[in-house]
Amino acid sequence: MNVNPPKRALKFLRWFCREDYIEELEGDLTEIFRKEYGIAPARAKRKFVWSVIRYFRPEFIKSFTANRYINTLPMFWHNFLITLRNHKKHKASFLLNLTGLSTGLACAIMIYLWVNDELSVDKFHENDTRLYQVMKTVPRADGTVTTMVYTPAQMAQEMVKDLPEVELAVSVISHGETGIVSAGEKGVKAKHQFADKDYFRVFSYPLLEGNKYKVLTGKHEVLLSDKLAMKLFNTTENLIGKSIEWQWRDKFDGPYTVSGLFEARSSRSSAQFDIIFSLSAWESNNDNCWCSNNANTYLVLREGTAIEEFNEKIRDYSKVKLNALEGPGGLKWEGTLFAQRFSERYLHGIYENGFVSGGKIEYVALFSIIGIAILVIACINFMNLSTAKASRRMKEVGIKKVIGAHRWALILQYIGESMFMTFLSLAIAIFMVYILLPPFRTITGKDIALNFDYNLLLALGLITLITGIISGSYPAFHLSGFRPTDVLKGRIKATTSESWVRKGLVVFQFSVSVVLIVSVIVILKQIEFIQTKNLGYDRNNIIRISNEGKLEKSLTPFLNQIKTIPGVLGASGMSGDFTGNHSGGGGIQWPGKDPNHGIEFSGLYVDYNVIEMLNLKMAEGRSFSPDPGSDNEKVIFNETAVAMMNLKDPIGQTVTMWGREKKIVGVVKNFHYESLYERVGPLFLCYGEKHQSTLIKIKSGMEAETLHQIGAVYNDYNNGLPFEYQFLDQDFQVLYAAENRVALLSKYFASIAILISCLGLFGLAAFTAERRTREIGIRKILGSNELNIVYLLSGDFTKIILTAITVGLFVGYLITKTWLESFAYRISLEWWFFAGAGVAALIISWITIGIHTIKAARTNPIETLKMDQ
Amino acid sequence: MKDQSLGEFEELVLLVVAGLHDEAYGVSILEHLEEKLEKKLNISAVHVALKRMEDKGFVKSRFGGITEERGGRRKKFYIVTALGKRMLDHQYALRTSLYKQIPKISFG
Repeated sequence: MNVNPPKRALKFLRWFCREDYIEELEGDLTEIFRKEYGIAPARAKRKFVWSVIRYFRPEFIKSFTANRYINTLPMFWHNFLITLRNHKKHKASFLLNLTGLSTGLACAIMIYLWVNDELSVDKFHENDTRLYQVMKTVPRADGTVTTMVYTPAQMAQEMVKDLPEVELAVSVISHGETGIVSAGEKGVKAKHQFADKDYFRVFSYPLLEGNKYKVLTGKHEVLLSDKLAMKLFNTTENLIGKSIEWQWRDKFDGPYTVSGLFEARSSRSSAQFDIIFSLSAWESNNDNCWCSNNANTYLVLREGTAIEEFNEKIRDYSKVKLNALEGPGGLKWEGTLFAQRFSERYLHGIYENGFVSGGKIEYVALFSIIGIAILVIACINFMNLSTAKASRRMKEVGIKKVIGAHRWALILQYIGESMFMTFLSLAIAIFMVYILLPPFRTITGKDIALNFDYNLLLALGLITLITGIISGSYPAFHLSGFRPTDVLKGRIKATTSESWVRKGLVVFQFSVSVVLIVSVIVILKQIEFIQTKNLGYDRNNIIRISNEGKLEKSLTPFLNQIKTIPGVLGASGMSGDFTGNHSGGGGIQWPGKDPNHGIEFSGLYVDYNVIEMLNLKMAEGRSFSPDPGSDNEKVIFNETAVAMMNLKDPIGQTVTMWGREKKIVGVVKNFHYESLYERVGPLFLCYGEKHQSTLIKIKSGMEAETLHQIGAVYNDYNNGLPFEYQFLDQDFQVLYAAENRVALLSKYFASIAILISCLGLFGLAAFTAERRTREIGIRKILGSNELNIVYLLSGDFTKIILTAITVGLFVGYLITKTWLESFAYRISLEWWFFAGAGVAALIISWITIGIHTIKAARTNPIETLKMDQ
Repeated sequence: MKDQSLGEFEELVLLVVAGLHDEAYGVSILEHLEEKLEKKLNISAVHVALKRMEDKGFVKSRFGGITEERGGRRKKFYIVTALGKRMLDHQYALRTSLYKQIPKISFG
């Protein structure tokens, strides 16, 4: 009679019972059960269950905890030894893994350092969480709005009075311009700003000397950075009370007294200045109308202020004030206010329709993704190689399991092995980072250092731990899952699902690499396009110098003297430049203007010779004439402006610009006066006399000596100041610094990604060739030639790579298309960008596979067949 | 011998093991006891007694062959060790000597 005892009771018994008792207990119980079942089945079952329950007592319950990890330390050493032996035996794959992982980790660390640095900019202020900047959203003549940082200079102090939420507030006026500061004979250029008295209480710039509650109150007070003080006085001691001489825009010239010293700007601060004046100095020299927006307003809000409510409250603050102080005249163009976290502005500094829409955070996100992708590629290598090589270690696993190793012990062993690899790689990666940091600093323009503080250690530990677990987990769970009998009988074969996983991972790796190749090609092409595009003006061999010091007052004699130098083709003054620094506005009236619809113009003030020197082409009319004073009330528009103004016959017509009537004398052909992110907009050129910079065109071939002579003339005017100049095309490089940086970095990262992917492929190809040596031997004996073998071996890989290329090209297309859309003038995506990237990936992978494939195909079959495996 | 103790039920099981000689395993011991004592016992009680006596060294065990009625499990046979036999002898001698001391008049 073959009835079985109650299943669940039996399962329970087997679960809790000691292994050495289960045989006897289960046997006896079953025997009794079967005897009694013949008499009374139900009672037999009940009795069986009851007996099982009666066994549930300490003598019979197996130990669930003790005995398992008693020998942790010896096992650890044993595993470590096995790991070392394994690496020693398979040096090639060990090196592949190590190279791949350490390169990936080094990339990840560098990207982490950079991202961390970006994220920490401006966060060092003590009041960081309560420190806000007031932003102003202003309507423009053409119906759009623009968001800007400029507010009335008095607003800060008015807000402290009017709004209880505001604890402290300061106005800062910063032009980003340099002036000349001198003590005795020595003069140096310095970036300056004007600031309210509470400046050092609102911001936590370290004050080395001076009292933060008292500085910046007096009109003739000044604070210097320690670096500037070092340059001026060769010391930073006992400088309070010393006098300095300042030259900037005439009316601020004069002596000032040093009242404090602050620590020089760091790269973690977005505000860059060397010298600070009191705001009262500015106010005493300017009309302080609420209508002139020239200051940045910073607020420290009281603890617990809800920013949404506060923003609601200050929305119309400026309008109300303007109405009360100046009357309703300018209300139409007055903007609304909102406060944004000061530390947020560095990364989120682009606004659309009055709202934050992005900024540098996009690059931070981009590089974070690239860093993670590279790390994942490196992890995949490790996983693929270890699972592929699992067959080599199956016997080890089988024997261990037979001896009594738990599955967990095996999993821990393999995870431990990959941890060992990752920590070894981490050590190498840190070494690599040390070596690569100086060039990385140059590329990023950041003062990044590898300081092992708590955060970095935590991040490193986490990155390494996660890398180790991810790369070790698949082999660990895969290997430990084998059934020992199958392994030892040699019945295990690679399952299809396993090879699918491996193939999928390779596809992912190569897709990422292909995306990176495509992106690099497109970025480089776009940058090349920008740099060679005809901008509508000639910027070769033209230098720009800022008109500082005495040049401000005596520009004309300076220009006349420059023009006598034989290598100088022309010299002229200009306000603003061609990288987006220009004035402009919407208040221009012209005949036939629709009163409800305005145009926002950009404007450049130029000397008479500029148009000729830059080789700007006139579409109609003439350019400014050199007769002094004759063209002061004349204006030139560009073609876009004329078209938008709808002027049929523009020459000779009169327009009113901010109350002054000006006659149109010419129309200039469109040229790019801003970056190529912007379309060419409406522009006016006016004749001006005071200029911020001087443009000098130099004869090509005579640059060196001419520059030397210009320097000599410059020194006659500004003795002691270094002669600093910029070529116009350098200006242009600065404009696309971010793109150049992205291009350079993505070039490096793409190469690294490809390198790591290839390492993985190399390892896999080697493994496949090795596993099929006997098959190849038999094939060759049966008459297959080398070409067939190569075809056989690389066919599989080629399919995988082709899939990856397809996926990668598709994703790459989407990404580059989106990126290009941010440019107003851009290249079109050519088919060969993608074909090129695809072919490059294919060829690289073929070369990688080929090394092993050809070697395998050329081996003498006797070599492989005679050995016994 | 002073440290070694033998419970009443253990002594019974040990006697049965000795009596069954080489045929003593869980179920046979249980059936024998139930027959002699004329009451139902639970197999677990027998197993507890056997395990304790094995720890004390009174019995030792070996595995027999696989039999069908036991669901593929082997029988575990017990035999009495020399120590176990001495213990039984000791118990028997003790009881007999005590029994002999009973005066006849006690049953008056």
